[in-house]
Amino acid sequence: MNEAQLLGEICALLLKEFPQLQGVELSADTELISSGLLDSFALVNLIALLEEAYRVELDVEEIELEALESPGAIAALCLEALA
Amino acid sequence: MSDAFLSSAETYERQVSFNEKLYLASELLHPGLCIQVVFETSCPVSEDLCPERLRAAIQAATALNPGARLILRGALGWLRWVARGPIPPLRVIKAWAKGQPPPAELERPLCPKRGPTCEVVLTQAPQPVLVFRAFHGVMDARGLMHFAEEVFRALRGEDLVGTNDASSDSEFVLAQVGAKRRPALRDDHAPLVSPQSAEGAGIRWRRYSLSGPVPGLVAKISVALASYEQVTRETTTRIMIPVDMRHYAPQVRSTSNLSNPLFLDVHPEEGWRSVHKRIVRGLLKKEAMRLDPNEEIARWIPLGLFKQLYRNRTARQRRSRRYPMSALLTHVALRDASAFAGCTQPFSAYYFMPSPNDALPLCVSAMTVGAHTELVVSAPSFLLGERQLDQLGAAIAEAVSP
Repeated sequence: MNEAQLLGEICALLLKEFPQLQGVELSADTELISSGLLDSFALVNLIALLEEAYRVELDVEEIELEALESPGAIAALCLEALA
Repeated sequence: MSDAFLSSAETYERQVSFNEKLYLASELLHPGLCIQVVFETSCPVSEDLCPERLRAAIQAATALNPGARLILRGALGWLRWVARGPIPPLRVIKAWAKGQPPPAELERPLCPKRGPTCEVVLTQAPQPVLVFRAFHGVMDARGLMHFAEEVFRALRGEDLVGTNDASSDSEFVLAQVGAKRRPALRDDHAPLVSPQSAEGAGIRWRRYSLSGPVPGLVAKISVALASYEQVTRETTTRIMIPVDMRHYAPQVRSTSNLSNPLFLDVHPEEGWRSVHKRIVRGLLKKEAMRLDPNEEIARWIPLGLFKQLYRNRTARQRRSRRYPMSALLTHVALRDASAFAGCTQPFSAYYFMPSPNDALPLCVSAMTVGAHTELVVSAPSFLLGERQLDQLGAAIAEAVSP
């Protein structure tokens, strides 16, 4: 899977699992945390969803918030975990 | 956890947890420990919120949420809440003009032994205010909000969702993660502000309105508190953040106290993103899902003796100006106000009003509904003078302004 495909999947997952994103036109650069769209518990849920969706383990001790800030950053994070 | 409604008053019982026993002790010493959510409106009361309709809606909500009519029964390890108290009354009181102190009815204690332990207050025109109140021993903020949501569902003629769980916070923790314990809390944190010019009983509080979402609100407030002038120039500020544990079991519908604390030691030089990351990590690792180390033994201490122990500890805290945390910081966020639409009555603001309990050195509560946040900063009058509270409150509000 390439990054563009993964980005599409990430955006679909975000729109499906987080009702607060309904109506938001997600792009690779959409700010999810800085904008307040996703709060602390939403980030917790997001990490769990990504781990389940891609069968990866994301090290919560090492993750930087910037890696979850946008769909593009999330896609890059998942690609790295899948590698 | 069953999905069936726990609607029978005969079947709803809940063990009093250690945290709730603390609330009971506090209530015995300083009556009035309540969670209070305020709904402000800038319009006259609509037909939807007339007392008769509200009373009917409260009755309907209580029928499916018996946690709104709890009273205390039993003793020692058998101390429990039972749903045999009065249905929450609706009290209609005189108008509460903007800028004026809250009416005395909003400082009225709710009796855990006889009830009611939950009530609804409606102030009269021209700009009515609706307040849901509950003794903190029976509900946390989310529990009270659940009850309020049910009342509004009833007003709209919708089906109610009811309660499907009667776990105490400790039973919930045991079921989720087992008997994990947190370290004992030590009274080793000073209040944030030198209490040189403060005096008086009760609390002081200030309210601030913020528009726009505030990303990382809790983290930003934590950093603002850590950066503020400290009495002893300690290197860290300890923030206690109640975490709604229902997030870990979204199928649970409960009015219970299901919030446990997450503790953060924040350095004044730390940026809000770093603190935010630590909060997220703490939530991921379920660090709030811990029992107090004294959980079991405290069950067998008679309530009267427990009250004495609590009084001794709070008196020592007051004398020494040392507490288990520097501040309590809470944040309830809702995506929008649709849950509180009562057909046509629009509300202009929602916030948590503090009760006149001076046990904690500083409380900051935030409520975000949609793109609007109300912030309330409160502290004991003997710790913070008026001017100091103004300065601290302004510093916090500025730190989180979009």
